[in-house]
Amino acid sequence: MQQRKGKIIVEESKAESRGGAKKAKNFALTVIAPVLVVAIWFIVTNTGMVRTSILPSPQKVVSTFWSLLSSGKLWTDMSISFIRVLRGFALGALLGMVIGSLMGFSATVNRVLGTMVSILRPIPMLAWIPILILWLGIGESSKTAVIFIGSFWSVLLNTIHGIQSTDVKLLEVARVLEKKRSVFIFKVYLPSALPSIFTGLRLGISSAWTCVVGAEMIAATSGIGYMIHYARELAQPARVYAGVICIGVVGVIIDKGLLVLQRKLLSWAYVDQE
Amino acid sequence: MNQEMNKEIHLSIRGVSKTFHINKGELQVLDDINLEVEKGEFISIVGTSGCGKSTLLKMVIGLEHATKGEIRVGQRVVTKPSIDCGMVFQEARLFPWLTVKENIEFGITREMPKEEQAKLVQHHIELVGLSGFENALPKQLSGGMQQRVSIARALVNKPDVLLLDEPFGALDALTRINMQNEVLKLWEHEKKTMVLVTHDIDEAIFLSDRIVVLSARPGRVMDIISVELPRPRERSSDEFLHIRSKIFKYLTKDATDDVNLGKYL
Repeated sequence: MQQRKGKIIVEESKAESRGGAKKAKNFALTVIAPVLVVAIWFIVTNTGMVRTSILPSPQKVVSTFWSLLSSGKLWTDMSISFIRVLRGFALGALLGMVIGSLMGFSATVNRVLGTMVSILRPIPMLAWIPILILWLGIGESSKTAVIFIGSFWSVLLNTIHGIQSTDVKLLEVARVLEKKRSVFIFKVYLPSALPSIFTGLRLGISSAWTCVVGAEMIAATSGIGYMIHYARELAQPARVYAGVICIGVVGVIIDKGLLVLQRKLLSWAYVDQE
Repeated sequence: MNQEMNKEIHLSIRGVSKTFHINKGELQVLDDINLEVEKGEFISIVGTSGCGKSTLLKMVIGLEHATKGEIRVGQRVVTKPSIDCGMVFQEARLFPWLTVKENIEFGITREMPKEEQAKLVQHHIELVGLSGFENALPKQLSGGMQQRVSIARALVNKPDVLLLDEPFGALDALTRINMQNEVLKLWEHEKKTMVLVTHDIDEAIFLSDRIVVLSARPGRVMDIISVELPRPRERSSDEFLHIRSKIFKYLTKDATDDVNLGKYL
């Protein structure tokens, strides 16, 4: 009996290590492309194949990054940008969810606003910037507006889609039980739309973050986007790259963080992993 | 079973026909259905697939409307869903974001104090044998358990009539037989009028007082067979098999007619 138990434990630990090997393999697969890119970057810059005024070496970018970080400059610019993103995103998410809900629930509202949505949505961010400057000037409000527009559409469309794709079969259950309209809305439509709304929020904050550089092209004197523009004007390529990479990394962190949150809050919508 | 003299008609279907309009064409699925169900009776409706048996049930619950004819539950003419009728669908149709307990709670439409509600829910969890799974999510349950929750959700509202639309069609054979036994117990215990739509002849004979046999599309009542065997019924008894072959002949004869007809279409 004792022996058997021992054997089982051994097998379990084998299975575990197999699981560990699989995990290691998956990890290797996800990091292989970036590692390769950095390696090539390292080679072409250190052998003089590419001019360092166009592409500084990775070690130069890293040391610039450290000096920016230790001087506190990076932190200040990042937090200023981040607050701008949050302000624009909060507005975009709120309006996106409210208008999206109205359009999802009411065919009339959907018809009235639908045309406007299809006209306005394809307008690229860069085309909005001059208009927003005309309307709002070059202060904070036009920067917030750029980020607002950047995050609004994906929240809006995903909210509409989430509500409209509520399972007819579940709606029939509520109809058979003679439920009130408020129960339909708050207990059936909205919960079933939540995963889609959350996806909209995730896409929204990601695109808000990518819009920040555009927004900080408008007469900014601070922020990560400003830092990048300014560094380019001063011909400091290492600083440009450090800033660009920072934006990418923070974007990944925001997205992954929200994904984890989504899986935790809406665990019912996901198949349990072994 | 229902030998009392003063039989009360609980559900009546009178001259009901249903025609669907599909792509400007017309498709008649039910033709002149007449049926009276007594209070406390267990009725099954069998027929080949596409004969409109599920549509008939949807009209009784009020999710579909008859093209012709009238359906009454008690004195009420059915025009829309009402909580005097409960419905169990082929799929469990549970809300994936609610736990077992919350899903059953959703079945309660009548206003009542919280305590009473909790008691009622707990009682129905026990009734369908799901104690210990109160806080599980639907995705954590097997198909049979999900269907139990769905039955509890339909019963918790205390409907007078329970409609079951092929409720065990998606379950494996053994689970299906278990569930049939459970439904029989529920029926004997709750004394509700039940109408079951099924394509499983054995299931119909095992459970029903009377079996309505529908023809292929458009569905017409071919026969109404009374099953007067004592319950629980032995599935391999001679009488059981006799009824089985009778219904089987109806349904297969009907199917061959359909094939022959196909030649002329």
